[in-house]
Amino acid sequence: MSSPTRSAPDAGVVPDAGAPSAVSIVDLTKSFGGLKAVSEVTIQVPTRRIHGILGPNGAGKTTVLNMVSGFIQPDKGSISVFGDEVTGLSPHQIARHGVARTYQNIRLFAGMTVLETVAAGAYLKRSSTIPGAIFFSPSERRERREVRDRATDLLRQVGVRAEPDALAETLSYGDQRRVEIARALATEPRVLLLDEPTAGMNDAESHEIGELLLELRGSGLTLILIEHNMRLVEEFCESVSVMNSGAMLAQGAPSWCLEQDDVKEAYFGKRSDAARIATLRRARRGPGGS
Amino acid sequence: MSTTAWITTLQFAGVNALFALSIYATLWTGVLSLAPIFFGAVGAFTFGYLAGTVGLSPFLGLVLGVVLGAALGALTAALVIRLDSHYLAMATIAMVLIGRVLVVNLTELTGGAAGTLVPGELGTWLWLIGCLVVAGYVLARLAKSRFGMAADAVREDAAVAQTLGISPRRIQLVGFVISGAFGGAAGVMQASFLQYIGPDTFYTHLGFVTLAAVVLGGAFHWAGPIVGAIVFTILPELLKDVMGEYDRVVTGVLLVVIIIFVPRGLVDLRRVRLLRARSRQDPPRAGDDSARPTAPQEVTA
Amino acid sequence: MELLAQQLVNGIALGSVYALFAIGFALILARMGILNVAHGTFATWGALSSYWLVAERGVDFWIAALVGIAFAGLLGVLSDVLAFAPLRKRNAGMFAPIIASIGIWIVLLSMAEAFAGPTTKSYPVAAVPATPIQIGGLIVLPAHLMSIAALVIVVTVVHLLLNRSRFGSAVRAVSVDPRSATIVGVDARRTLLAVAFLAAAIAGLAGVLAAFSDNNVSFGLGEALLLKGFAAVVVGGYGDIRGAAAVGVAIGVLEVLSSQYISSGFRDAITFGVLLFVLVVRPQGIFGERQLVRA
Ligand SMILES: Nc1ncnc2c1ncn2[C@@H]1O[C@H](COP(=O)(O)OP(=O)(O)OP(=O)(O)O)[C@@H](O)[C@H]1O
Ligand SMILES: [Mg+2]
Repeated sequence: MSSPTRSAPDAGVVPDAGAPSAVSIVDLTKSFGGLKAVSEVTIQVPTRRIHGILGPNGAGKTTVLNMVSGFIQPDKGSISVFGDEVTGLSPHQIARHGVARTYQNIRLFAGMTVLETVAAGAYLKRSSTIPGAIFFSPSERRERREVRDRATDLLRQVGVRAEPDALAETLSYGDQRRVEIARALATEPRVLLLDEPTAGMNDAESHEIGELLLELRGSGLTLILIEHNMRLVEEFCESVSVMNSGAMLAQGAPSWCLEQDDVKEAYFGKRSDAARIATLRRARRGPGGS
Repeated sequence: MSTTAWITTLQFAGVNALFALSIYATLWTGVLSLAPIFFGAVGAFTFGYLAGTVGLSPFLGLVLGVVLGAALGALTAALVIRLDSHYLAMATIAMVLIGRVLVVNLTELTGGAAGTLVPGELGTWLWLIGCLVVAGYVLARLAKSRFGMAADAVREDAAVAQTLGISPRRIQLVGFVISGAFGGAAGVMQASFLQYIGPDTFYTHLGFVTLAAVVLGGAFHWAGPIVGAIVFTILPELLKDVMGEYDRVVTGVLLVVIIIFVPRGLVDLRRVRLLRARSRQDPPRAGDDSARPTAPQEVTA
Repeated sequence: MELLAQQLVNGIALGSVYALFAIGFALILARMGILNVAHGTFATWGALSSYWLVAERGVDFWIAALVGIAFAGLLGVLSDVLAFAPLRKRNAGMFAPIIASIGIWIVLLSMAEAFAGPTTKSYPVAAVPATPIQIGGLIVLPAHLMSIAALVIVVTVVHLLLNRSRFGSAVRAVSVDPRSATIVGVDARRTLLAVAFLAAAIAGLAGVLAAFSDNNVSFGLGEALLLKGFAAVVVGGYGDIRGAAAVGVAIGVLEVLSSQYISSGFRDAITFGVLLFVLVVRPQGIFGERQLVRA
């Protein structure tokens, strides 16, 4: 067993006795064959919090997100969202609990335009029926207009500059990531899970995403993001969990966590010196950010 | 070919289009199913039996075909939707094969190997075009509806669709019900044009031709199956003079060639959109025929 | 009691043919991820070609059988080269190979129909071994003995080949990921072709045995096998060929016993009843996990 996770006293990772956390992950464990991808991970994320999950490649971050969104079933442990147990539910049921997500390797729908992609995300918010659609009832027409307007607004909010009728798959890398965020937002989630939202973006673009996160939190969302860009994490995350090899290393305020020796070690190897950290931080900003 | 032969061919193209739309209805939700042929058989033989015994009117026969087909579609969905897509496809092919066994053995109801006669009042252009217009209209209206966008999403990436709150099985159930209704109607129309149905009327050959029609025309837009059915019914007729009894071979070869070289079929909105995007961005480059622009690769270490 | 034993032997022999067919079908499904509905026509062409050699060319039965099997295998290789390989190269997804295999089915079926004509034929009496063999109190036809022996040999050889040989590990590596298999030095192309040949040749063998057992050759021979083979794979799973083989044999026994003791009209109905029951009650198959793709 690994040493018990240390956490900063003032980081709020310990749940309040009263209000339920937005997302509460307890003892989550998952193995693939012999590989323990996630082992006994516990994370509490209060409402209206921007929480980062950090860790080197293969640490198990995406696997945690996959379990929260119901993509894969945990071997052990439980997940609840605003007090409701969601462990074992299928992804579409979890989505109905207000959880939306984006993907590390962008997953847009082939053949759909930008606008259609976002409109597809509005499924849960629409109430039209099949007969209504066939007979093109007034409410159907109104709903289509509303969905289109809402999608347009969302695209503007996340900062997609491309034409709404362009094929989503032809957009620039950054715009594709933003369309994914817009699609997730179209479900009107309470919790948004972002898997490396700034990968492939330059500094300015990444910063825009950071501002967007603040704006979304302001409107009541809880955000959990996996992020390699340390500068972004330090600037926008209020708390982080650092993972390595499936285990939790440290949780708490970003600056505090990144000072921990075993975190530095996990990231940068044993001989950590300031210069190397700085270089690596720059390199960590993502593949397209050069 | 004589004019009457042409007209007959075109009429069968229309019926095949109806079957093709039935296949499209499930394919739209990401399910490859040949069950429409079975739905058609049930609709047609029920119609034949009731018309023969209690003198059911042809119009009621058509209505019955639609209702029966829809109910069977729901039942089929309930039984097979949980299956892995390979098994699902094979299970529906098995339905077609079993359908023939049933027709041969339920002699009392179907006439057995000898088949049965069916009234032909519905075998007119008016009824045929009427059915096609209704089916096409329904699909066109559904295309950008809540259901339609969910169906697109499920087909393209069922896992992502789920995280948007869409239940793939529910969408596929609806697809099967629509498919059943169209299939039942197509069966009754087929029977009305032929005025005779037997064990081989609703068998693999019909399944092949209609599936080929969907693949050729394109399974990504409701107009695709109609275009495909017309091309695929007329083409073998034209080839018959040249190929004789080997005309079916051409169907098979075409199916393979299309799926390799034009996998999204003739009616492909995505290609149109790609071309438009390209012409908008930069002047077309010579020799650039890559169908799919390569998305930026994810960098994973 | 004697009758029951006799019928059991007949059922096992019939089931052996189903099992052989199912093995090839399962092999392609498990190792290449292709649901090959043209598999039945490989069996048909194996039977048709060997029949033609015996009846029209006067070739010795055993040689003709071998040629028929090889011919079926060749059709399998051709299908892969012309249809499945290009799709694999394009990463065409799940439906494309099924649709391509339907195309191959149409081609091979209509050519079989044109070649064989609508009537069914039987082997010339003198050309095939037909003297029943007395074993204990049972009478066993040479065809039955051959079917059972062929199944035992094929199951043993294929199982050992897949699990105990270098070829087996190459096949496993390629079926997981052709690209990384190539990196570790496996010739992916040749391995896949070998699997295609093996599977189709086994189908050809099943076809020859089916024709020989019934003494009945027709272009529709493979279609019946396709259904039974599918049922065996659905119920028995395709991860381990022994599961599909065992269920294939069981289907044969069930058919023979039910037509003896219940009614011959129920023969097919019972197979499909079992198939439907398993699909509904245990969609994951009797022997467990049967997920081809993971989310
Ligand atoms: N579906 C799966 N099947 C088998 N192994 C898996 C699967 N998903 C993840 N893994 C393994 O689990 C481990 C954790 O993977 P995960 O994707 O969660 O890492 P990560 O922290 O997101 O890394 P990265 O920064 O590279 O995205 C890795 O070793 C990975 O290979
Ligand atoms: Mg990851």
